[in-house]
Amino acid sequence: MKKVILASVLLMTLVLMTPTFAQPAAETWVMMQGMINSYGGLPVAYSWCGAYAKVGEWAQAHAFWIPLDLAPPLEEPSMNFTYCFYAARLVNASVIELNYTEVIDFYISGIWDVNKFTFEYADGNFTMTMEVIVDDAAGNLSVTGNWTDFTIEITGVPSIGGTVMFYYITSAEPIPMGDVTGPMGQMDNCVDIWDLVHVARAYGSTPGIMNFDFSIDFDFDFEIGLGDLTTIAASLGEEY
Amino acid sequence: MMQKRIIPFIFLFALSFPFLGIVAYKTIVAVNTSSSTATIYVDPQTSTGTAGQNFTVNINISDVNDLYGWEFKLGWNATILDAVDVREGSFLKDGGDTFFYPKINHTEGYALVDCTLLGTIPGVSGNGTLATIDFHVKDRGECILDLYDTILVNSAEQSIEHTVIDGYYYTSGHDVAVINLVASESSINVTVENQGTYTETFNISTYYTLLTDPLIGNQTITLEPGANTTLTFPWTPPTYGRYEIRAEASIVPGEVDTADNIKTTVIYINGGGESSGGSYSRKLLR
Repeated sequence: MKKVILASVLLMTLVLMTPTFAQPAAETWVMMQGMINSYGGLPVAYSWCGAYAKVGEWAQAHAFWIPLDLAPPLEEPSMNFTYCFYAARLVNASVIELNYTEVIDFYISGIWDVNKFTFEYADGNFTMTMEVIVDDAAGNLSVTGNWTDFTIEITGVPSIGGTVMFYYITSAEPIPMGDVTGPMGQMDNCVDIWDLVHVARAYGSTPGIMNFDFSIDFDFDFEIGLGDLTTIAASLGEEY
Repeated sequence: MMQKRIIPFIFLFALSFPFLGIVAYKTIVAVNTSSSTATIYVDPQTSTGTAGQNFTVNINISDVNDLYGWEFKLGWNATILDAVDVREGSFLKDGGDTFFYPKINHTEGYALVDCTLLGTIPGVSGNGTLATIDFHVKDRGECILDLYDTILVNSAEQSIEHTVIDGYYYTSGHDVAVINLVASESSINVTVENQGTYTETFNISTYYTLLTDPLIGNQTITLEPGANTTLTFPWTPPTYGRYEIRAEASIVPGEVDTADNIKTTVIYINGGGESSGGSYSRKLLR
């Protein structure tokens, strides 16, 4: 009888001592957008960073930035000018986790490409050149500070740091693509005509041209076109 | 308030008083023209049709200034109607290239339709048609063509204040139909229905084709709208063989949908043939 009681006490002790972990939801989607503040410790003139992921399965992440030394001069608009920017793209993700550590709220690691793009505009036409900075380099995106800051560390590339402007986490259903604005000029958790009009106003624009915005170039082809409108159209009427 | 809604309650009575629809339409037009606020509305205000037919409505806009993009939802009773096509109207296209995207939810009975101009160009002002929607009438009935969640956006990406006017549909006119036909070796049962909005008196005739369409019988009935009844025509096949039985409801004055006035079925009499004959097997084929 004593053995039975002792075994029961031991079992209960083991149960009580065993740490409990919250079971992750079966499917979780994360969307994050932010602004890059520094590149190699130096401020940047213009930037955008976005990540969209299904935790544990897939992720896409892009970052665009113009270091101060590449910023276009503040002068009267001209038909002939040069527009340079860096672009980082997550090629393949290997780890996509929420609450990766006690301080990392969201973490994506994988293989990245970083390129420098130059658009040379002359009399309404442009030529684009691409300079490879790193190709298939290991790197990671880490969101910290309770979803306030992020860093992108890619081998062979100066550290990139930024501020989270928007994030959304849901286990209900995939987050629809295409919510870029609303009636108040801000994202309104709904894909509708406001988003379509906002992108339509930039139709045909390329980097450096008025109304072009990396955040609405959903297919990342550096031209706002039918592909971007179709991305929004596919989610019209959806809310999140 | 960005959006005001005028519901044409009077159209709810249009089934009983078809001409009231016209009076209400004129009244609403008069109200609209007295205001400079843009109006998005279903045109015609009242639509009619019969089961099996298609009809078309336009979503029009009036008194709008600098329209760059628009969105609306149009809802209907999915048991009565189904949208078969949504096409872009000419209004926005007149101002430049456009991106038009309709989504139809056939199950829930609504369409979400979006359209925008493209590029840094001004919007379009005036009156015109935003979209055209073709409906197929699945069944008789009536419903509001509910125009809702309408958004008008100008070229500065600002909202355009507007009013909204719904439409109304009802099954109309003269329409009778043979909805069922069952043949046996001794009788023909014909079920006819008045699918129109008027009481109809009409003939139902049945034939078989072994001989040159000999008439099995002829009966006259009177049906209230929506009512149906089954008539029995006693019949004795003259001999064995394969018979096509045809039932015809006579076309009532003003009837358009006459395709369902005739129904046929096939019956195969195998063995004897005279009604007074002994035992023989009969197989019915439909």
